[in-house]
Amino acid sequence: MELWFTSLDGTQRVPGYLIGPYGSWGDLQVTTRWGSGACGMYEASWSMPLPAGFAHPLLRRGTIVELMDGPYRVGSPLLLSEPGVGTGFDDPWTLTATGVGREVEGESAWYCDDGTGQTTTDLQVAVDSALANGLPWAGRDASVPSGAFGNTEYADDLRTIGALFTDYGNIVGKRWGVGGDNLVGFHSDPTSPTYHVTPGAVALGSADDDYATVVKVRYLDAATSTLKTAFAPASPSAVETRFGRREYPAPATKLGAINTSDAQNLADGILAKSKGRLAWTNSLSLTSNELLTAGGVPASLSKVVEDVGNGCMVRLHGLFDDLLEFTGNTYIDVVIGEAKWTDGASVIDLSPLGLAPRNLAAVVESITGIAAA
Amino acid sequence: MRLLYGDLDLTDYPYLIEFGTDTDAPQNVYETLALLLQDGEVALSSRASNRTLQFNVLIEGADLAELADAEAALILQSERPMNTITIDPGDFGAVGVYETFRGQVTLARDDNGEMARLRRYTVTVQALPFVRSATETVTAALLASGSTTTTLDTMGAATGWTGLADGAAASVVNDTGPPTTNSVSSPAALAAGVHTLTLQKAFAATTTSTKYLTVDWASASSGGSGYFFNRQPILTATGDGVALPPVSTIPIPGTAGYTRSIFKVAASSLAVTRFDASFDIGVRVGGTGPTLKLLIDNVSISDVKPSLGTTRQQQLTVAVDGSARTAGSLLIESTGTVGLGDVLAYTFPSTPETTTYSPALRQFRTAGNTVNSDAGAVSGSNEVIGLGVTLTIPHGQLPPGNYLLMGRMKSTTTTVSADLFGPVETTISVTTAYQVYALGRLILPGRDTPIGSAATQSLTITCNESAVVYDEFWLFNLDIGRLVWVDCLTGTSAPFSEGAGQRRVAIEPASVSTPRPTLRTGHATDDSDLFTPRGTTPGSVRIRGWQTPQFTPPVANLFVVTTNVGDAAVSLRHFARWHTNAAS
Repeated sequence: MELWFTSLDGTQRVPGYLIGPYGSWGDLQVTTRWGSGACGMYEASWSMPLPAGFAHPLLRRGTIVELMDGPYRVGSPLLLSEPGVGTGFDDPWTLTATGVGREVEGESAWYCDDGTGQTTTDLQVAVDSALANGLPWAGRDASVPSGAFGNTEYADDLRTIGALFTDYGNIVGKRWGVGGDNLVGFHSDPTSPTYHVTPGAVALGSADDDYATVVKVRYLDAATSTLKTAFAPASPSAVETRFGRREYPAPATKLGAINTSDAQNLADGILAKSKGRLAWTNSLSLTSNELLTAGGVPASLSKVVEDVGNGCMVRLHGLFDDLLEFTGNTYIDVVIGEAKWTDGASVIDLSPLGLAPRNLAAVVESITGIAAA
Repeated sequence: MRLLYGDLDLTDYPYLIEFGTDTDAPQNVYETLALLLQDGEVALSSRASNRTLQFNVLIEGADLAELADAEAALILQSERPMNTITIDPGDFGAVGVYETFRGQVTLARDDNGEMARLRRYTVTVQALPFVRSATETVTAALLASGSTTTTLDTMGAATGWTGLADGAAASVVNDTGPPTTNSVSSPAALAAGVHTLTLQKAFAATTTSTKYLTVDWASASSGGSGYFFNRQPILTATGDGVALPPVSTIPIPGTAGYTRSIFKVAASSLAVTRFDASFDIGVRVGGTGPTLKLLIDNVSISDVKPSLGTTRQQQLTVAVDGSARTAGSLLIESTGTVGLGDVLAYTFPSTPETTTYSPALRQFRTAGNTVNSDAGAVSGSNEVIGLGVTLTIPHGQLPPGNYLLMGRMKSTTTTVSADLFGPVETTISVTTAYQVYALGRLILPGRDTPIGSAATQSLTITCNESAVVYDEFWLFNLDIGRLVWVDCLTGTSAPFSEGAGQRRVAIEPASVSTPRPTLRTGHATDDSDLFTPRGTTPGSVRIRGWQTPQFTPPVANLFVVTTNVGDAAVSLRHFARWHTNAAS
């Protein structure tokens, strides 16, 4: 893959080959995600050997970075963070860029605005106002609905655009992200596998962290102005019968007054996207000989990284489904939550959706909820 | 042997090279992966790391002051951040050049040596892994295209043809087909291994200007069971005992299963012409080998440069000297007065899997709408995409990997936003002028099949706007090849003019002297006005895609499109690279 840098105002677009005396970079690691919060291109990091005292107007915070495969951009653009400047050629600069979809979530992000400075729960209005203020997206696609949902009059704090998108996504059972066309949109989880893993290549451990079989949503009913609870599923699932019942609370009073059907959809959506099954304890390290297309052709890892950001299901052959006694499947279909790949490497790391946090960074992220703030 | 450090001759007074020079070797970088093998690992290696040269230099002199002066001259060379060590082995051996970095020089001080006015130094210096030849090789650009084609034999009869199967005489069979062919077959039940079928005839052809020998051929296997092909068959040609370098190999539209191989005849006449088809088969236990057959449909000589559709789209092979991979400078130029237009330069290695791979897709079109002749098209035709254009590509011509689908399209009415569906889904803005688009990536072929399979890959591209027509689609395998796309505009070519056309493109790799790749366009034939194009309006970039080309000996494949100019000259300038001893 090649790095291209564009100034924030769009007036200069320069290939990485023309930056610095060597025009080279190394250890380009790409991460894409599909899960809670912004999906798609998550992060890219690389190093660049540059002489002592080097400076370049495009190697500063705010530059748009594109990962190109020839003339084709892989995933959405990314925004460069202020680089870690090195001291010379044997101490290269370290640079990190985050996907443009993540600009609207987390602390000090972009907050919902109706163009006059007041908050809004209308997704289209919030996006258009952010675009007018310089958000580096190309726009929104047809899946972003118009009209407000929820009631800002009773909302008690400013909410980021990302949080609004996540809430709406939970109600309709979809995930949101900025895709390769640089448009934000909502997409459903894949239901059939794109890639197949050869039997014997991987093993998946399971854990019951965050295990829950019932989601209960507490909301302010718009019709009666009383607090009510919506829950999903209506009757015990096969997982509950096998592994036991646990309940998960999802307060939705922050949305203000919402109607019953939205509250029920919210409960259904949270259950479908993140609850109702055991979690996984390990990620998968695979080569292109173990990861095949449906036709048996070895996958190209650069394409796999891109596909995970757009929602990708992988069928792991030779592993018994936890619910074997209910389904009889000798394979497990997992939606991949994260792909991490170093450009040129022959191994890719795939983490299934629902990977229980086992290292410090993942635990911190799960507690602070950075992705969902 | 003579050894020069920079321009300092260390084999001439006051220097002496002691015996025991260690030229080390390129250090292959391995990655070992157990994969799914029950035992052992696959050792992958895609690059080599620097070598470390070490040699001993003796300095003699009349007094210690002279010794110090000679040491200073040596250190001036070793301290250079980049330098060369040239070794001329003598005895008709070729000169080899090591590209070196800053060297470490150590004096082994010896009191007896001081008294004898003799000092001994050990020089240790890192160098690039592969030795290069002293001079660059420039492959002669293919001749400008003419229009003369002389058919040498349409295979109406077997007259004059002799056949060999693995060197033994075999009969030549004439078949009326269609197409009419002469063929030679091997005996039945061949054993596993490499087999060669030969067809030979003596022509009396004059090739002073018609340099391209074209042969349409096919191979077939019959009988046997439990056998498989280890690689695709390879056809080579010999003219009057001289091996003819291959120029191009393309499938023939309209004659399914046949390939057109084009060879260059350097001599001015051609008499005894011999075609050898080499097969490599394996036979499983309990199986029997097949009968193999080589069929030739047509032989002609021509001065028409090989092209796909028009000469704005060329597929060429270029000989790469040396035994190791090298980075070459690719020059694409036109002698006309206008810019090259959009230039697509795709380079890919020549392996048995890629012998018949051709990125241009109109040649594989099997169904669609009305095809119209179009002088502005690189394929020579345009066609509405509409409800579907179907392309059917044999698996043997689609080496597995990640492909980028690109297309050249325009609207026949007004600018429209068009949705394309099929192998990729994308939305593009199409204007009334032809533009090139990168549409999306996909892994092909859709099914894994063994070598020699008769399977085909079918792709149907549809468009929701009936005004959109396509000139050509391309599938570039970005796993095996590298693509460059630069817009050289179409106006009158002029030096240093950003908004004019540019009629030359020079693509250069990183080298030790210019340690980053360069991509420049220009006008003058002496390369004096090359510059990196930017574009006249803010944000308009003329370099659309840039992956540095790579050339692996003995032969590299080039696919070049120049949308505004026909018959562009393509040449490759490179240093041959070798392991340790240069052979030329």
